[in-house]
Amino acid sequence: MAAGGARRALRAVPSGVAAPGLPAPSSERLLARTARGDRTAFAALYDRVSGQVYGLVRRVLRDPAQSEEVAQEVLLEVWRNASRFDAARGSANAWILTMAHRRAVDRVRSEQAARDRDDRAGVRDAGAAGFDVVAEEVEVRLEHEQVRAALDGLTDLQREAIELAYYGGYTYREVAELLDAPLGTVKTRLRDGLIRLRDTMGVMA
Amino acid sequence: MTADTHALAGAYAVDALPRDERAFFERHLGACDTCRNEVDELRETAALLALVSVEPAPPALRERVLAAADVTRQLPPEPVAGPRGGGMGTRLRPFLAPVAAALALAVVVLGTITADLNRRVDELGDRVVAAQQDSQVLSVLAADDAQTVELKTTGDATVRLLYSPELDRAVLVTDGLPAPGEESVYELWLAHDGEPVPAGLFRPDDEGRSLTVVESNVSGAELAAITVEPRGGSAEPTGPSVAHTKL
Repeated sequence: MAAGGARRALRAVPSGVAAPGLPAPSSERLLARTARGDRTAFAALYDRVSGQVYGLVRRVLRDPAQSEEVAQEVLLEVWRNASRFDAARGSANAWILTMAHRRAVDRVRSEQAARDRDDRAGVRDAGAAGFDVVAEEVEVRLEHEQVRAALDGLTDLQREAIELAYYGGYTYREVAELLDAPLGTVKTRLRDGLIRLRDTMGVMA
Repeated sequence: MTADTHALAGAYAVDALPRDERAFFERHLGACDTCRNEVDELRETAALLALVSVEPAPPALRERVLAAADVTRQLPPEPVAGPRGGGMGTRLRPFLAPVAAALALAVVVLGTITADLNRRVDELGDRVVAAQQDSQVLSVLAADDAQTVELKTTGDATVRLLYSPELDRAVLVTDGLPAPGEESVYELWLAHDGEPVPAGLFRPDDEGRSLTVVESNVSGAELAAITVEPRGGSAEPTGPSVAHTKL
């Protein structure tokens, strides 16, 4: 894009909204500029993705203070690792949210490992109690119509397995236990459920 | 094996693999473009699920992140991998030097190349063994009837047995298991009708980690146990039991 004047105008806009008359730069483009040390681009990228990052981390972790901490780590990773983003492998959004999800899940697991050492016997009960809360929460907060519609198109087992794994941060072994389904079935449902979602939501991406 | 291994791509894409299984699958991803492409696609889909949980970040976070970025060095781009085996040509070049000047040198170089080739063959052998082990582990992970049990241990160690009766195959994974002593090894036993059958010897690394693949006598075993045995192992358990479980 653009001559020096246009670029200056873009820089002057604080929240990453494009200057009048210019289309908003893609997240991929903002990420590429971030990789070259452009702080304005990074700030714009922050404004675009921080709500998704924080929301996802909080969905998995629940605790606001912890979520804020993990979200900060993730967003700083975006700055640090920007040059490692490979557009051939996917969108900037997916790259960032993949990092966010993994960090949130790793935090859950490391906390859980600590709890398990304290009380191995209690794990099963705690997990079972967690399921109702998650299921309810997931049910209440599924607002995005298209994602919701796509999830509704899945079989019950596919949907429950994906929701527990993605929003609940459970391993597929825990999911199998919570749903009282064989491990092999859960693995297969996670995969074919995601494939079905991909095909349904393909239009959105 | 490929079809079974593929089944893990979904669980991996939503971070639903436990840590150890994630590590195995990631090694597999390094070698399997089909799985890698599928994972990329499924992650793209999974990221859309985050659209329903958007929530504004606390306002103070923005300043903190931007301030942290100011004092954080960015990573350089990943180095692009060069063509494979490129080093060999350089090493062979001394042979092209004039014979008179190179004779003495050639002996040395030849020695180096032979040693180098031997090392490469060894490395290749290790890698083939590692790859075989990986594929065995993955086959168990991906088996429809795969089950995991945690063995009760005498200490803090984590000892898990992952097994598939159908494949008659099992994988024993340990973490934090103390060294068995200079002259000893750990031996895994699987009991059939009350009779312990030897199922493998192992020594954990410095952090107590080990991975042992068991390729027979898994189906129908009712008990698994680990004992400390003299180096070389025993035909029946003689040492103290450090872990056990019913299957």
